[in-house]
Amino acid sequence: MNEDYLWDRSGEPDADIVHLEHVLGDLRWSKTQRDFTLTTPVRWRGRQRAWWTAAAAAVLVLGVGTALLVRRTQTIGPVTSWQLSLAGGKPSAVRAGQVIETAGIPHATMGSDLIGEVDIEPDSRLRLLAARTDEQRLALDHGTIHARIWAPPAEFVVDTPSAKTVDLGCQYTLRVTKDGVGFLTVNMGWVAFQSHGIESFIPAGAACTTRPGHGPDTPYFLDAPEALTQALTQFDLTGSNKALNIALAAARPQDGLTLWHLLQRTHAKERSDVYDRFASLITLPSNITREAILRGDRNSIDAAWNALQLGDTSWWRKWKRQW
Amino acid sequence: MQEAALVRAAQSGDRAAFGTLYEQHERLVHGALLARVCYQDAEDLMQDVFVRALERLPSLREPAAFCGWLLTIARRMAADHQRSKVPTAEPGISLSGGTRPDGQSFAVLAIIHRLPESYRETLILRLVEGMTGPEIAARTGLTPESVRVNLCRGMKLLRAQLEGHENI
Repeated sequence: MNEDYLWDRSGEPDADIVHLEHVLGDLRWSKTQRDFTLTTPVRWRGRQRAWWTAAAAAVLVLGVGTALLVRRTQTIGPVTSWQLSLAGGKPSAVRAGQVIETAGIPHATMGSDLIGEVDIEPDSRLRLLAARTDEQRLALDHGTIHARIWAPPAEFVVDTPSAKTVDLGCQYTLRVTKDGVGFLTVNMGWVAFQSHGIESFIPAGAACTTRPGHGPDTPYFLDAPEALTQALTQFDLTGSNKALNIALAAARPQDGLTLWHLLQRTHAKERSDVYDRFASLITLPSNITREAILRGDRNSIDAAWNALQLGDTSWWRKWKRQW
Repeated sequence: MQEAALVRAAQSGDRAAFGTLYEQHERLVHGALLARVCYQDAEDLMQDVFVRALERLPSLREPAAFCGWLLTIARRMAADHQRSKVPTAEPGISLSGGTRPDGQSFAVLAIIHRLPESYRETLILRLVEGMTGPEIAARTGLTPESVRVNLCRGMKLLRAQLEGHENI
Protein backbone atom coordinates (compact mmCIF):
# COMPACT_ATOMS: atom_id res chain seq x y z
CA MET A 1 0.00 0.00 0.00
CA ASN A 2 1.32 3.46 -0.87
CA GLU A 3 0.91 5.19 2.49
CA ASP A 4 1.96 8.56 1.07
CA TYR A 5 -0.90 8.47 -1.39
CA LEU A 6 -3.31 7.47 1.36
CA TRP A 7 -1.96 10.30 3.53
CA ASP A 8 -1.96 13.26 1.15
CA ARG A 9 -2.31 11.87 -2.39
CA SER A 10 1.41 12.37 -3.01
CA GLY A 11 3.56 9.79 -4.78
CA GLU A 12 2.38 6.97 -7.01
CA PRO A 13 -1.41 6.52 -6.79
CA ASP A 14 -2.39 3.26 -5.11
CA ALA A 15 -4.79 1.43 -7.42
CA ASP A 16 -6.96 0.02 -4.61
CA ILE A 17 -7.28 3.37 -2.90
CA VAL A 18 -8.09 5.13 -6.16
CA HIS A 19 -10.80 2.54 -6.79
CA LEU A 20 -12.27 3.05 -3.32
CA GLU A 21 -12.18 6.83 -3.79
CA HIS A 22 -14.12 6.39 -7.00
CA VAL A 23 -16.69 4.02 -5.49
CA LEU A 24 -17.18 5.96 -2.26
CA GLY A 25 -17.09 9.33 -4.00
CA ASP A 26 -20.74 8.71 -4.86
CA LEU A 27 -21.55 9.22 -1.19
CA ARG A 28 -19.73 12.54 -0.91
CA TRP A 29 -21.74 15.49 0.30
CA SER A 30 -22.81 17.64 -2.60
CA LYS A 31 -23.86 21.24 -2.35
CA THR A 32 -26.85 20.45 -4.52
CA GLN A 33 -28.14 18.37 -1.62
CA ARG A 34 -28.44 21.49 0.49
CA ASP A 35 -32.19 21.79 0.73
CA PHE A 36 -32.66 24.30 3.51
CA THR A 37 -32.23 27.96 3.84
CA LEU A 38 -30.14 29.35 6.60
CA THR A 39 -32.32 32.43 6.68
CA THR A 40 -34.83 30.31 8.60
CA PRO A 41 -33.02 29.68 11.84
CA VAL A 42 -35.45 27.29 13.52
CA ARG A 43 -37.88 25.03 11.72
CA TRP A 44 -41.21 24.06 13.20
CA ARG A 45 -39.99 20.56 13.94
CA GLY A 46 -37.00 22.04 15.69
CA ARG A 47 -39.19 24.37 17.75
CA GLN A 48 -41.51 21.54 18.76
CA ARG A 49 -38.59 19.32 19.73
CA ALA A 50 -36.91 22.15 21.60
CA TRP A 51 -40.12 22.88 23.56
CA TRP A 52 -40.55 19.28 24.59
CA THR A 53 -36.88 18.96 25.42
CA ALA A 54 -36.99 22.09 27.55
CA ALA A 55 -40.14 20.95 29.33
CA ALA A 56 -38.78 17.49 29.99
CA ALA A 57 -35.46 18.89 31.16
CA ALA A 58 -37.21 21.33 33.51
CA VAL A 59 -39.27 18.56 35.08
CA LEU A 60 -36.22 16.36 35.37
CA VAL A 61 -34.07 19.06 36.93
CA LEU A 62 -36.81 19.98 39.39
CA GLY A 63 -37.25 16.33 40.31
CA VAL A 64 -33.67 15.42 40.86
CA GLY A 65 -32.01 18.77 41.41
CA THR A 66 -31.80 18.34 45.14
CA ALA A 67 -29.91 15.11 44.68
CA LEU A 68 -27.01 16.91 43.06
CA LEU A 69 -24.29 18.33 45.20
CA VAL A 70 -22.23 20.99 43.54
CA ARG A 71 -20.12 21.92 46.50
CA ARG A 72 -18.04 24.97 46.96
CA THR A 73 -15.10 24.03 49.05
CA GLN A 74 -13.00 26.35 51.13
CA THR A 75 -10.46 26.52 48.33
CA ILE A 76 -12.99 27.61 45.75
CA GLY A 77 -11.37 29.50 42.89
CA PRO A 78 -12.39 31.79 40.07
CA VAL A 79 -14.97 31.06 37.38
CA THR A 80 -13.48 28.97 34.56
CA SER A 81 -14.37 28.39 30.92
CA TRP A 82 -16.08 25.15 31.93
CA GLN A 83 -19.89 25.04 31.87
CA LEU A 84 -21.84 22.35 33.69
CA SER A 85 -25.16 21.19 32.31
CA LEU A 86 -27.41 18.86 34.27
CA ALA A 87 -29.91 16.63 32.52
CA GLY A 88 -29.95 18.92 29.49
CA GLY A 89 -30.68 21.99 31.61
CA LYS A 90 -29.23 25.47 31.37
CA PRO A 91 -25.42 25.46 31.71
CA SER A 92 -23.77 27.14 34.67
CA ALA A 93 -20.15 28.18 35.12
CA VAL A 94 -17.83 25.88 37.05
CA ARG A 95 -15.31 27.37 39.47
CA ALA A 96 -11.80 26.07 40.06
CA GLY A 97 -11.86 23.88 43.15
CA GLN A 98 -15.50 22.96 42.67
CA VAL A 99 -16.66 19.42 43.45
CA ILE A 100 -19.30 17.85 41.22
CA GLU A 101 -21.21 14.84 42.50
CA THR A 102 -23.83 13.23 40.32
CA ALA A 103 -25.61 10.95 42.77
CA GLY A 104 -29.04 10.37 41.25
CA ILE A 105 -28.37 12.56 38.22
CA PRO A 106 -29.07 10.67 34.98
CA HIS A 107 -26.83 12.83 32.81
CA ALA A 108 -24.37 15.65 33.36
CA THR A 109 -22.02 17.29 30.91
CA MET A 110 -19.16 19.66 31.50
CA GLY A 111 -17.96 21.52 28.42
CA SER A 112 -15.54 24.20 27.41
CA ASP A 113 -15.24 25.69 23.95
CA LEU A 114 -11.48 25.76 24.33
CA ILE A 115 -10.91 22.32 25.75
CA GLY A 116 -13.60 19.77 25.01
CA GLU A 117 -16.55 17.98 26.57
CA VAL A 118 -16.81 15.60 29.48
CA ASP A 119 -19.93 13.50 30.01
CA ILE A 120 -20.28 12.49 33.64
CA GLU A 121 -22.16 9.32 34.43
CA PRO A 122 -24.45 9.01 37.49
CA ASP A 123 -22.88 8.41 40.90
CA SER A 124 -19.58 10.02 39.95
CA ARG A 125 -17.43 12.45 41.92
CA LEU A 126 -15.34 14.84 39.88
CA ARG A 127 -13.27 17.82 41.01
CA LEU A 128 -11.97 20.69 38.92
CA LEU A 129 -8.51 21.19 40.41
CA ALA A 130 -7.07 23.80 38.08
CA ALA A 131 -8.07 25.66 34.94
CA ARG A 132 -5.08 27.50 33.59
CA THR A 133 -4.09 28.39 30.06
CA ASP A 134 -1.53 25.60 29.93
CA GLU A 135 -3.28 23.02 32.09
CA GLN A 136 -6.82 21.85 32.75
CA ARG A 137 -6.66 19.48 35.67
CA LEU A 138 -9.52 17.39 37.00
CA ALA A 139 -9.66 14.60 39.56
CA LEU A 140 -12.04 11.67 39.21
CA ASP A 141 -12.44 10.22 42.70
CA HIS A 142 -14.95 7.61 41.56
CA GLY A 143 -17.46 7.08 38.76
CA THR A 144 -17.19 7.29 34.99
CA ILE A 145 -16.44 10.08 32.53
CA HIS A 146 -16.41 10.13 28.74
CA ALA A 147 -14.00 12.79 27.46
CA ARG A 148 -13.79 14.31 23.99
CA ILE A 149 -10.87 16.70 23.98
CA TRP A 150 -9.82 19.14 21.30
CA ALA A 151 -7.36 21.17 23.40
CA PRO A 152 -3.67 20.76 22.45
CA PRO A 153 -2.18 17.46 23.63
CA ALA A 154 -1.05 17.20 27.26
CA GLU A 155 -3.13 20.15 28.44
CA PHE A 156 -6.05 18.10 29.74
CA VAL A 157 -5.15 15.95 32.74
CA VAL A 158 -7.36 13.83 34.98
CA ASP A 159 -5.98 12.57 38.27
CA THR A 160 -7.21 9.23 39.58
CA PRO A 161 -6.33 7.76 42.98
CA SER A 162 -3.48 5.79 41.41
CA ALA A 163 -2.32 7.54 38.23
CA LYS A 164 -2.45 10.71 36.20
CA THR A 165 -4.35 10.48 32.90
CA VAL A 166 -2.84 12.74 30.23
CA ASP A 167 -4.78 13.44 27.06
CA LEU A 168 -2.69 13.29 23.90
CA GLY A 169 -5.45 14.40 21.54
CA CYS A 170 -8.30 11.98 21.83
CA GLN A 171 -11.62 10.60 22.96
CA TYR A 172 -11.72 8.20 25.87
CA THR A 173 -13.68 6.70 28.77
CA LEU A 174 -12.25 6.62 32.29
CA ARG A 175 -13.88 4.66 35.11
CA VAL A 176 -12.74 4.68 38.72
CA THR A 177 -14.20 2.29 41.28
CA LYS A 178 -14.82 3.34 44.87
CA ASP A 179 -11.72 1.44 45.94
CA GLY A 180 -9.63 3.55 43.59
CA VAL A 181 -9.00 1.19 40.67
CA GLY A 182 -9.02 3.04 37.34
CA PHE A 183 -9.90 1.58 33.95
CA LEU A 184 -9.27 3.45 30.72
CA THR A 185 -10.44 2.68 27.19
CA VAL A 186 -9.46 4.89 24.26
CA ASN A 187 -11.72 5.45 21.25
CA MET A 188 -9.64 7.96 19.28
CA GLY A 189 -6.12 9.30 19.56
CA TRP A 190 -3.90 8.55 22.55
CA VAL A 191 -3.90 8.73 26.33
CA ALA A 192 -1.03 8.27 28.76
CA PHE A 193 -1.25 6.92 32.30
CA GLN A 194 1.61 8.07 34.49
CA SER A 195 2.50 7.47 38.13
CA HIS A 196 5.83 7.63 39.95
CA GLY A 197 7.91 6.94 36.86
CA ILE A 198 5.68 4.17 35.50
CA GLU A 199 4.07 5.09 32.21
CA SER A 200 1.60 3.45 29.89
CA PHE A 201 0.75 4.79 26.44
CA ILE A 202 -2.69 3.73 25.30
CA PRO A 203 -3.77 4.17 21.66
CA ALA A 204 -7.25 3.89 20.15
CA GLY A 205 -8.69 0.43 20.58
CA ALA A 206 -6.59 -0.30 23.65
CA ALA A 207 -7.23 -0.28 27.40
CA CYS A 208 -5.29 -0.08 30.65
CA THR A 209 -5.97 -0.49 34.36
CA THR A 210 -4.31 1.45 37.16
CA ARG A 211 -4.33 0.37 40.82
CA PRO A 212 -3.70 2.20 44.10
CA GLY A 213 -0.22 1.53 45.42
CA HIS A 214 0.76 -0.03 42.15
CA GLY A 215 0.21 2.44 39.31
CA PRO A 216 -0.58 1.71 35.67
CA ASP A 217 -0.73 -1.90 34.49
CA THR A 218 0.49 -2.96 31.07
CA PRO A 219 -1.84 -1.75 28.27
CA TYR A 220 -3.42 -4.14 25.80
CA PHE A 221 -5.66 -4.03 22.78
CA LEU A 222 -9.30 -4.79 23.56
CA ASP A 223 -9.35 -7.56 20.95
CA ALA A 224 -6.32 -9.31 22.48
CA PRO A 225 -6.71 -13.02 23.32
CA GLU A 226 -8.22 -13.67 26.74
CA ALA A 227 -5.22 -15.85 27.62
CA LEU A 228 -2.99 -12.83 27.12
CA THR A 229 -5.08 -10.35 29.13
CA GLN A 230 -5.61 -12.76 32.04
CA ALA A 231 -1.94 -13.64 32.25
CA LEU A 232 -1.00 -9.99 31.91
CA THR A 233 -3.18 -9.04 34.88
CA GLN A 234 -1.60 -11.78 36.95
CA PHE A 235 1.89 -10.65 35.94
CA ASP A 236 1.11 -7.01 36.70
CA LEU A 237 -0.24 -7.95 40.14
CA THR A 238 2.24 -10.61 41.20
CA GLY A 239 5.22 -10.47 38.85
CA SER A 240 4.72 -14.18 38.22
CA ASN A 241 7.22 -15.54 35.71
CA LYS A 242 4.76 -18.26 34.72
CA ALA A 243 2.11 -15.66 33.91
CA LEU A 244 4.62 -13.69 31.85
CA ASN A 245 5.45 -16.75 29.76
CA ILE A 246 1.75 -17.45 29.14
CA ALA A 247 1.25 -13.83 28.06
CA LEU A 248 4.23 -14.00 25.71
CA ALA A 249 3.03 -17.23 24.14
CA ALA A 250 -0.46 -15.81 23.55
CA ALA A 251 0.75 -12.53 22.02
CA ARG A 252 -0.01 -11.76 18.37
CA PRO A 253 1.99 -9.34 16.16
CA GLN A 254 -0.51 -6.59 16.94
CA ASP A 255 0.19 -7.10 20.66
CA GLY A 256 3.61 -5.55 20.11
CA LEU A 257 2.24 -2.58 22.05
CA THR A 258 1.92 -4.79 25.13
CA LEU A 259 5.32 -6.43 24.68
CA TRP A 260 7.02 -3.05 24.21
CA HIS A 261 5.71 -1.97 27.62
CA LEU A 262 6.82 -5.29 29.12
CA LEU A 263 10.36 -4.66 27.85
CA GLN A 264 10.55 -1.75 30.28
CA ARG A 265 8.92 -3.57 33.18
CA THR A 266 11.13 -6.63 33.22
CA HIS A 267 14.77 -7.28 33.97
CA ALA A 268 17.51 -9.82 33.25
CA LYS A 269 16.16 -13.19 32.00
CA GLU A 270 12.56 -11.97 31.83
CA ARG A 271 13.49 -8.99 29.65
CA SER A 272 15.47 -11.33 27.45
CA ASP A 273 12.41 -13.57 27.03
CA VAL A 274 10.21 -10.58 26.24
CA TYR A 275 12.71 -9.30 23.68
CA ASP A 276 12.91 -12.69 21.95
CA ARG A 277 9.15 -12.86 21.60
CA PHE A 278 8.96 -9.20 20.54
CA ALA A 279 11.62 -9.72 17.86
CA SER A 280 9.83 -12.83 16.59
CA LEU A 281 6.59 -10.90 16.08
CA ILE A 282 7.79 -7.46 14.98
CA THR A 283 10.14 -6.67 12.12
CA LEU A 284 12.83 -4.59 13.77
CA PRO A 285 15.24 -2.28 11.92
CA SER A 286 18.79 -3.53 11.61
CA ASN A 287 20.19 -0.83 13.90
CA ILE A 288 18.40 -2.28 16.93
CA THR A 289 20.57 -4.73 18.80
CA ARG A 290 19.46 -7.22 21.39
CA GLU A 291 22.20 -6.02 23.72
CA ALA A 292 21.06 -2.37 23.50
CA ILE A 293 17.44 -3.27 24.28
CA LEU A 294 18.42 -5.50 27.19
CA ARG A 295 20.45 -2.73 28.79
CA GLY A 296 17.51 -0.35 28.36
CA ASP A 297 19.07 1.97 25.78
CA ARG A 298 16.51 4.75 25.23
CA ASN A 299 17.23 5.26 21.52
CA SER A 300 16.86 1.55 20.79
CA ILE A 301 13.64 1.32 22.78
CA ASP A 302 12.29 4.33 20.87
CA ALA A 303 13.28 2.67 17.60
CA ALA A 304 11.52 -0.51 18.72
CA TRP A 305 8.40 1.54 19.37
CA ASN A 306 8.58 3.08 15.92
CA ALA A 307 8.71 -0.43 14.45
CA LEU A 308 5.20 -0.99 15.86
CA GLN A 309 3.93 1.56 13.31
CA LEU A 310 1.74 3.22 15.88
CA GLY A 311 3.35 6.62 15.32
CA ASP A 312 6.81 8.01 15.85
CA THR A 313 8.04 8.48 19.41
CA SER A 314 9.23 12.01 18.71
CA TRP A 315 5.77 13.53 19.09
CA TRP A 316 4.83 12.05 22.45
CA ARG A 317 8.34 12.25 23.92
CA LYS A 318 8.18 15.98 23.33
CA TRP A 319 4.89 16.26 25.21
CA LYS A 320 6.01 13.91 27.90
CA ARG A 321 8.74 16.31 28.93
CA GLN A 322 6.05 18.82 29.76
CA TRP A 323 4.47 16.64 32.46
CA MET B 1 -12.18 36.38 6.03
CA GLN B 2 -10.63 34.24 8.80
CA GLU B 3 -12.82 31.64 10.49
CA ALA B 4 -12.91 33.43 13.83
CA ALA B 5 -14.04 36.62 12.11
CA LEU B 6 -16.72 34.68 10.24
CA VAL B 7 -17.94 33.18 13.51
CA ARG B 8 -18.11 36.59 15.16
CA ALA B 9 -20.00 37.97 12.14
CA ALA B 10 -22.41 35.02 12.23
CA GLN B 11 -22.93 35.54 15.95
CA SER B 12 -23.95 39.09 15.26
CA GLY B 13 -26.59 37.91 12.80
CA ASP B 14 -24.69 37.86 9.51
CA ARG B 15 -26.33 34.93 7.73
CA ALA B 16 -23.99 35.18 4.76
CA ALA B 17 -21.10 34.59 7.16
CA PHE B 18 -22.84 31.52 8.53
CA GLY B 19 -23.41 30.37 4.94
CA THR B 20 -19.66 30.61 4.36
CA LEU B 21 -18.99 28.63 7.53
CA TYR B 22 -21.44 26.04 6.30
CA GLU B 23 -19.61 25.72 3.00
CA GLN B 24 -16.26 25.43 4.73
CA HIS B 25 -17.36 22.65 7.07
CA GLU B 26 -20.08 20.74 5.22
CA ARG B 27 -17.78 17.89 4.15
CA LEU B 28 -16.35 17.52 7.64
CA VAL B 29 -19.81 17.37 9.21
CA HIS B 30 -21.15 15.00 6.58
CA GLY B 31 -18.17 12.71 7.06
CA ALA B 32 -18.60 12.69 10.84
CA LEU B 33 -22.28 11.81 10.42
CA LEU B 34 -21.70 9.19 7.74
CA ALA B 35 -19.21 7.45 10.02
CA ARG B 36 -22.01 6.83 12.52
CA VAL B 37 -25.33 6.61 10.68
CA CYS B 38 -26.56 5.34 7.31
CA TYR B 39 -26.34 7.49 4.19
CA GLN B 40 -29.95 8.66 4.20
CA ASP B 41 -29.88 9.55 7.89
CA ALA B 42 -26.63 11.48 7.38
CA GLU B 43 -28.33 13.52 4.68
CA ASP B 44 -31.27 14.26 6.98
CA LEU B 45 -29.06 15.10 9.95
CA MET B 46 -26.94 17.59 7.97
CA GLN B 47 -29.76 20.09 8.19
CA ASP B 48 -30.36 19.43 11.88
CA VAL B 49 -26.68 19.86 12.76
CA PHE B 50 -26.37 23.25 11.12
CA VAL B 51 -29.71 24.45 12.43
CA ARG B 52 -28.63 23.48 15.94
CA ALA B 53 -25.28 25.18 15.43
CA LEU B 54 -27.06 28.32 14.31
CA GLU B 55 -29.34 28.21 17.34
CA ARG B 56 -26.45 27.76 19.76
CA LEU B 57 -23.90 29.98 18.05
CA PRO B 58 -24.47 32.91 20.45
CA SER B 59 -23.32 30.69 23.33
CA LEU B 60 -19.97 29.89 21.68
CA ARG B 61 -17.59 32.15 23.56
CA GLU B 62 -14.41 31.22 21.74
CA PRO B 63 -14.77 31.70 17.95
CA ALA B 64 -11.49 29.86 17.29
CA ALA B 65 -13.06 26.71 18.73
CA PHE B 66 -15.87 26.69 16.16
CA CYS B 67 -14.65 23.69 14.17
CA GLY B 68 -14.26 21.34 17.16
CA TRP B 69 -17.52 22.62 18.63
CA LEU B 70 -19.40 21.96 15.37
CA LEU B 71 -17.86 18.51 15.06
CA THR B 72 -18.98 17.67 18.58
CA ILE B 73 -22.53 18.72 17.75
CA ALA B 74 -22.47 16.45 14.69
CA ARG B 75 -21.04 13.46 16.56
CA ARG B 76 -23.47 13.89 19.41
CA MET B 77 -26.51 14.24 17.17
CA ALA B 78 -25.47 11.14 15.24
CA ALA B 79 -25.09 9.23 18.51
CA ASP B 80 -28.45 10.49 19.79
CA HIS B 81 -30.03 9.53 16.50
CA GLN B 82 -28.62 6.01 16.66
CA ARG B 83 -29.79 5.55 20.26
CA SER B 84 -33.34 6.64 19.45
CA LYS B 85 -33.61 4.82 16.15
CA VAL B 86 -35.73 1.70 15.72
CA PRO B 87 -33.39 -0.87 14.15
CA THR B 88 -33.98 -1.22 10.43
CA ALA B 89 -32.08 -2.81 7.60
CA GLU B 90 -29.22 -0.68 6.31
CA PRO B 91 -30.28 0.51 2.85
CA GLY B 92 -28.23 -0.65 -0.05
CA ILE B 93 -26.06 -3.23 1.69
CA SER B 94 -26.86 -5.79 -0.95
CA LEU B 95 -24.42 -5.70 -3.82
CA SER B 96 -27.27 -6.19 -6.25
CA GLY B 97 -29.20 -3.26 -4.83
CA GLY B 98 -29.89 -0.25 -6.98
CA THR B 99 -30.36 2.20 -4.16
CA ARG B 100 -29.06 5.72 -4.76
CA PRO B 101 -26.16 6.45 -5.32
CA ASP B 102 -25.42 2.77 -6.11
CA GLY B 103 -25.24 -0.59 -4.41
CA GLN B 104 -21.47 -0.88 -4.56
CA SER B 105 -20.81 2.31 -2.62
CA PHE B 106 -23.38 1.33 0.01
CA ALA B 107 -21.79 -2.09 0.31
CA VAL B 108 -18.36 -0.57 1.01
CA LEU B 109 -19.92 1.90 3.45
CA ALA B 110 -21.57 -0.98 5.31
CA ILE B 111 -18.17 -2.67 5.65
CA ILE B 112 -16.57 0.54 6.92
CA HIS B 113 -19.38 0.81 9.49
CA ARG B 114 -18.22 -2.51 10.93
CA LEU B 115 -14.68 -1.24 11.54
CA PRO B 116 -13.65 0.15 14.95
CA GLU B 117 -15.01 3.63 15.56
CA SER B 118 -11.58 5.25 15.63
CA TYR B 119 -10.93 4.28 12.02
CA ARG B 120 -14.40 4.92 10.56
CA GLU B 121 -14.47 8.69 10.69
CA THR B 122 -10.91 9.14 9.44
CA LEU B 123 -11.39 6.71 6.54
CA ILE B 124 -14.67 8.31 5.50
CA LEU B 125 -13.23 11.82 5.61
CA ARG B 126 -10.38 10.61 3.40
CA LEU B 127 -12.13 8.24 0.99
CA VAL B 128 -15.63 9.70 0.81
CA GLU B 129 -15.19 13.40 1.46
CA GLY B 130 -11.82 13.60 -0.29
CA MET B 131 -9.94 15.33 2.54
CA THR B 132 -6.19 14.73 2.93
CA GLY B 133 -4.59 13.45 6.14
CA PRO B 134 -3.15 16.86 7.10
CA GLU B 135 -6.54 18.45 6.47
CA ILE B 136 -8.29 15.84 8.64
CA ALA B 137 -5.80 16.46 11.45
CA ALA B 138 -6.23 20.21 11.26
CA ARG B 139 -10.02 20.00 11.27
CA THR B 140 -10.59 17.24 13.84
CA GLY B 141 -7.95 18.30 16.35
CA LEU B 142 -6.29 14.88 16.20
CA THR B 143 -2.52 14.83 15.84
CA PRO B 144 -1.20 14.11 12.34
CA GLU B 145 0.38 10.93 13.75
CA SER B 146 -2.96 9.70 15.08
CA VAL B 147 -4.66 10.41 11.77
CA ARG B 148 -1.89 8.62 9.88
CA VAL B 149 -2.16 5.59 12.16
CA ASN B 150 -5.96 5.56 11.85
CA LEU B 151 -5.73 5.75 8.07
CA CYS B 152 -3.11 3.02 7.70
CA ARG B 153 -4.60 0.58 10.19
CA GLY B 154 -8.16 1.32 9.02
CA MET B 155 -7.17 0.78 5.40
CA LYS B 156 -5.51 -2.53 6.22
CA LEU B 157 -8.65 -3.71 8.01
CA LEU B 158 -10.85 -2.48 5.18
CA ARG B 159 -8.75 -4.32 2.58
CA ALA B 160 -9.01 -7.51 4.63
CA GLN B 161 -12.78 -7.15 4.89
CA LEU B 162 -13.13 -6.44 1.16
CA GLU B 163 -11.22 -9.54 0.11
CA GLY B 164 -14.35 -11.67 0.30
CA HIS B 165 -16.32 -9.33 -1.99
CA GLU B 166 -15.50 -9.96 -5.61
CA ASN B 167 -17.78 -7.24 -6.95
CA ILE B 168 -16.09 -4.39 -5.13
